[in-house]
Amino acid sequence: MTRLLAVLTLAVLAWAAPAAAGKDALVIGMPTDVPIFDTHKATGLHNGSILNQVSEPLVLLSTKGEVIPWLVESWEQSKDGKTWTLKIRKNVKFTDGTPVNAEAVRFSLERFRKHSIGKATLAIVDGISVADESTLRITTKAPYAPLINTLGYHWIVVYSKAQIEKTGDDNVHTAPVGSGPFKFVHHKRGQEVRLEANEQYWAGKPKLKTVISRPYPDASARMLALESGDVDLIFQVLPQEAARLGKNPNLVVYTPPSARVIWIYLNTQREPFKDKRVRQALYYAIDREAIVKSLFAGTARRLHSPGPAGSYGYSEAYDHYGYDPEKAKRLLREAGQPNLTFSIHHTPGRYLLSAQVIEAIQGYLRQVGVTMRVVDLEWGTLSQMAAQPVDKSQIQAAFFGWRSVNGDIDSAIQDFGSQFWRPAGNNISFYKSDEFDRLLTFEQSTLDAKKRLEALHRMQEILMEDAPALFLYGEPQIWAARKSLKGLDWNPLESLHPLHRAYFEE
Amino acid sequence: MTWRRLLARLIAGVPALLVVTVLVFAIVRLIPGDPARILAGDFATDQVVGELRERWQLDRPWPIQYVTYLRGLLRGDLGRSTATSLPVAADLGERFLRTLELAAAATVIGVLVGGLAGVLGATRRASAVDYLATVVALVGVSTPIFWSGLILILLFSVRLEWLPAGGTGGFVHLVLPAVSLGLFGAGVVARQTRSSMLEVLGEEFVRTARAKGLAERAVVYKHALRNALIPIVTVVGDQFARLLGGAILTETVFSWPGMGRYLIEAIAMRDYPVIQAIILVFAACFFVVNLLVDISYGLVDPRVRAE
Repeated sequence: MTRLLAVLTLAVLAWAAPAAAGKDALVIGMPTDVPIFDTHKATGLHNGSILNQVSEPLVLLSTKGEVIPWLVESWEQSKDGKTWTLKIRKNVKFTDGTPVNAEAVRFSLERFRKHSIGKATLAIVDGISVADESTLRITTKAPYAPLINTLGYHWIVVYSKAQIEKTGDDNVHTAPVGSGPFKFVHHKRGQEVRLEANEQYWAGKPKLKTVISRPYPDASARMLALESGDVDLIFQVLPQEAARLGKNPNLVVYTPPSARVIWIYLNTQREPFKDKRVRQALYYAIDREAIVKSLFAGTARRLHSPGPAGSYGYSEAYDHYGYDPEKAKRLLREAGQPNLTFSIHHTPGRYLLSAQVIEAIQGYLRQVGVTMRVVDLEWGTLSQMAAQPVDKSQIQAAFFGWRSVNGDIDSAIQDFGSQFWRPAGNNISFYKSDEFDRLLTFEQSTLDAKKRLEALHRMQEILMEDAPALFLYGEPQIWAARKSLKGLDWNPLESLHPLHRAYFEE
Repeated sequence: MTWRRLLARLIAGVPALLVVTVLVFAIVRLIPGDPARILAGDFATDQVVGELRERWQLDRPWPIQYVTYLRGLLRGDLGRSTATSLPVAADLGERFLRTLELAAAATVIGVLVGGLAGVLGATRRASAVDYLATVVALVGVSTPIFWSGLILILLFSVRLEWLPAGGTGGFVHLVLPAVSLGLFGAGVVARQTRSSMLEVLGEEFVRTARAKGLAERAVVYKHALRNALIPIVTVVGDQFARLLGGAILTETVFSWPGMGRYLIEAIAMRDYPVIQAIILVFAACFFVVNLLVDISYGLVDPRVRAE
């Protein structure tokens, strides 16, 4: 009996012993677990914060819309605009010792195009070929100016071909090998991801020894985990809590710009939004500035174009909609809709504070005599509804978030082209403008950067005037961290850049 | 219960589980929302969605999908998660162990705290102890766990720094979720114990036992409680079986990777194979726990055995 007790006690003690975490171990609290540790099969953009520590993108996107050379050192577009020559950084090795060369990049690009849910981003690509050890050629079906920005989409990463051949294509997640600042140790699903430093990292030896990520699905619990010291860095802090956390002398709140923008699509092929004046009236009726300031405590940014603010080509010049309820009423009267009633479809909880935003908008609209009925649908149901073609679409208005994945405003506005009407593309407004369509084709194929920029501006002007959607605000990405944690950097896609410079101050 | 009857019960469970597979299979497909579209992300093209639908055989007629599913099931294959394309069985096993750990700990706490409160309430009826036990039980049952859980974290993790704020890793991680879940169960157990004990304490054999001059402690714990156990065991069994289905809110607040959170994640992604597997396991657990409860009746009450 005594012996049994002793054994039991030892077992409990061994089980209870917490893992030691020193100052060189960073623990990140995320809203979800990484679904599968294979970046080519990844979902949930914020998971790039962990995945990209092992497998790196070709180039990085900064939150200012710049492209930072990374595994690809330089690039060149051919005269006809259809061939890109990429120079791969020399002397970079995967953590299994094999070189990161043109063949490895080609192999990974093809794998991304086969598996990723984001593969449509490279649909324009016609072929990929290896020119020499460090040179890769990508040909596109048509000239496509933002291709290099698109290559910064952080699911497009490079894995060791030798390792994939070893594990088999289906089992990359069991032992992924990339060239990143950290190496994969384990992924206990639903519980923890553990990474350790890659001492030979090409951009400099990481200052941290270990990076651990744990899921905390409840936003309040996540925040408490940071306050209690269980974790050092968290993502998706609620805006109303950001100010409180910021007052804690040991913590700091970061709000790098995000590529996520929030729009209300208006179905331009159905009543009551066939008339442009009705759509414009809604713009005048809503005080977007107040929504951003009060509901988001200043962490969100009002949009002056489809956005996102800070993306390449973004212009604030064409937003002539101040808050003007009188003008809204006048426009509604002119359009013969003084007592307008319409429905908006919305998924509660999918976008930050969306229910509160909708409530505020309801209030603003009531002041100009407009009744907005809110139809709350779970996301799976709404996404299916929004996929219907124009003759079957039940949607009058829909509250959606959209994200530019390449830091170029083209990816945010191209879906207003009429060839992108649902279900072929994402034009949920069923908007059609001949001039816009023409400019879109021009802008995507021209090699003249100046003329392209002019076209992008004119396209934003058209969209602001025609208002096929209400472009409301850019969502913030809100992170909070221990103040002693330094050297963090983000991309606009809610994801951390490689963490080799991160460290804890003494 | 004889071996023959036990075997008969086990065999009777098979068609019941088969019915469950049909129902679950149909119900998950009746939920609006297309798994392929959800998987493909906010703004996927129809081509991508179509490819995913084909890959997961969602484009086939339901009967064919069902036969494929059942055939896999008979081989012990629960299929692959559409969200991660990994085998469901491995994940499910891990999640189930976590849930079992939490459910067992919470049930032990619930039985100890609830049982004691119930007995005290019954033996000292209308005393301060009884009222206190009733109030505690009421609070235990009616406090939403997403509130009490956060308060516990605030107190024990942030202020006192005694326990981790959530997650897994060792015994210390189990304390807070098990206590908050256990206290909820304690309320139910306490109420059942109290009323069951009150009934038994009024019976004649208790008077006889007292008349024989037995100590009150022996009367209460040896004679009365033993006879009051059957309804209590039923409640405890029912609670435990429910907990095995996963405690969704507790698991979310305490970041505990159990079946409840797994189910919620799967429903959000319309991950049919995972939803089907979880509900099937849940049904099987209910069945097994109920069987165990029935067997335990014979252990606590010889009269049941004689029947």
